[in-house]
Amino acid sequence: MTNDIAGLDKSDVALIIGSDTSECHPVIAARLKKAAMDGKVKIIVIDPKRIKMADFATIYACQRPGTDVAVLNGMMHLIIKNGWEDKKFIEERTEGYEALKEEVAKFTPEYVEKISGIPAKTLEEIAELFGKAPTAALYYAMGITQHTTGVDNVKSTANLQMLCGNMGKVGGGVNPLRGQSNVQGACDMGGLPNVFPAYQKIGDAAVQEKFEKFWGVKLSDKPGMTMTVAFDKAHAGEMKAFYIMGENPMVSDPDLHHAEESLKRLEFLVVEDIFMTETAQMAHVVLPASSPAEKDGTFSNTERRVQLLFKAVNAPGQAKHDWEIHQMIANKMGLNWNYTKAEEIFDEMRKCTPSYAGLTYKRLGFAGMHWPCPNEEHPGTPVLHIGKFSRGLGLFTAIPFKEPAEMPDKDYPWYFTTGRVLQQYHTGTMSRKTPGLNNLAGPHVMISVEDAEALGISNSGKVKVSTRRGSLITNAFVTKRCPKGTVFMPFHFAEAAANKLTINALDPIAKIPEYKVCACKIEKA
Amino acid sequence: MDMIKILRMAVNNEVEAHDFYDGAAAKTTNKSLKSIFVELAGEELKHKLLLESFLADGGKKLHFAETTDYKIAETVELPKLTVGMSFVDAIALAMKKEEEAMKMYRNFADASSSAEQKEMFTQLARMEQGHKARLETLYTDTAFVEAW
Repeated sequence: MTNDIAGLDKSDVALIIGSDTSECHPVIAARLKKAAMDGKVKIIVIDPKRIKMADFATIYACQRPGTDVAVLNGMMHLIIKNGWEDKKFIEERTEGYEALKEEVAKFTPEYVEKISGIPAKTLEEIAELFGKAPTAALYYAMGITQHTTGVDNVKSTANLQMLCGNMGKVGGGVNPLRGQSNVQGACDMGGLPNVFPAYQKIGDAAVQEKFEKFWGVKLSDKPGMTMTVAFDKAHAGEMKAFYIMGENPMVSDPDLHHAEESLKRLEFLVVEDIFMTETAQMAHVVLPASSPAEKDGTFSNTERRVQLLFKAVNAPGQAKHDWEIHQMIANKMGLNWNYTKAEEIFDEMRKCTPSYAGLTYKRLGFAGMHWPCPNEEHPGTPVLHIGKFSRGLGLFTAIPFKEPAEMPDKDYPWYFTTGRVLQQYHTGTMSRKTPGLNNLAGPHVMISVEDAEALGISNSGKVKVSTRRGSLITNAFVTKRCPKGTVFMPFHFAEAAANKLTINALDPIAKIPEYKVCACKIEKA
Repeated sequence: MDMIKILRMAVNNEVEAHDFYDGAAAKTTNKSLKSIFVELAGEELKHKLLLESFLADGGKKLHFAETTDYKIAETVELPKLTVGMSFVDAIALAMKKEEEAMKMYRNFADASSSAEQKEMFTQLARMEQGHKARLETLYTDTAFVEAW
């Protein structure tokens, strides 16, 4: 997030697009709901499903899946046409505006209605509310990123916020809500294929030299590959071994038949996890790790706040801290690591991670601190880009609309989209061990009342869902929250794994799969 | 050195700084870089005008509020001025130059034998520290890119 959670109720308007906030980020959702109920913030929700946040919204618009660029371009078209753009901000802090203006010119409300299904009048109301707001925030999650146009979608959110001058101020910003409690921290630490900690580029000579000197080893200057690409390589027999930590791709990967076949073709698979997951069951070696309650360390949350994690109980049996497991392996491989606690590793990390340099366990305390925090005297940075963007002038990008990789057709006439429910977490490795949660939320497919009636499907009745990747049978959840022609499936459930059906089509830059759109067929089972 | 001479020296330092950024702005074709150099040159002009206003009454009202010094400039190396330097390096360079100026006035203050002279240099050091603090905020805002 460019902004902090505390500033959330300082917005006049909050646009939620591609985020089922109350299901996936309930703490932030609760704050947004309260801000709306207190009359502080007007909420706009744009989503294919009528998500719960829509009940708190001033305007809700139902879009067809995969039409975000068209919708955002349409909003910008109207904002420019009506003179609601922030001319001073555009002039002083951005470049590339003319190209953007030219691109969005064709996205009239009528044209956007044809693409997205959002009535022209609704789009006009949205543009007016958002465009006239003194301060407006934008929130998104995987509904924006998990598309073959994920990068385009993200750039469009930045275009809109720069156009309206909503960057670099309290209550504004582009605020991606991260999908996991510490995915921000994992990325900050270089858990990505092409960067060292703090996004320092692999292959940059100065960076390379710095880390080789710091760690005392020769390092490859070739970026690695994303997980989605690695699975393709395993499938092709080009990769022979995987070491998977805290990830359950046998439930979370797109097109699970492909994922399963890829893992089976490996010569060696190691899984480090806290439970015997579907992926661990395929491993040659399973290394038992400790759960969050059993270890010390830090979590960096979606607002860049680094928070201390305090151990509450000992890990059971042979389970160890992740760092202990890695140290044992490193030493078996001939190194001489002698860390005795997580804090020692954190302190070493601070020396090569400029954005974390000023964060110590003592300073983090119980409240945590926001990075960037360049030294121990600095108070941290809750809001980014107040004065300038990292590249100086913010760059507008003219983005044409592209359809998703697979659209409904006569054989597979429905949109199929996936996501989460509040009661379960990701692949269910932790949450599905709790019977109470399983009683609250089991496998299902959400289907519109109109579609259910036409197919003779009743609530909790069995439904066969098929895509070009496969079929499964699950329970129907007939609801007004789903529009006609679109079905939604949560992906938490291995016994009715939505990802058996999803498409392994990737964004060409980020290599993220298009979990949010493909075509399916529904039948009464 | 009397107070007027000290203030004149400070004005000249600001003019030099202005010319430095003005020249850098003229040389680069990068739009972002040009804009920050133009802005920095403008800032130095403002400092010059401010000091001249103090000079008009003999420097008697010269006073700057103390700002918190997070010492961020002190954590980076002075980047080399080039037309192809990054935007962040341009800010780092400006931040380092303010640090240098602040330290210079502090050294003058330490070396001053008269209380009046010491106070004048202390105030000028505070002024530069304020400029440094502003640039440090800008640096923190821009230097830690989250992109991969």
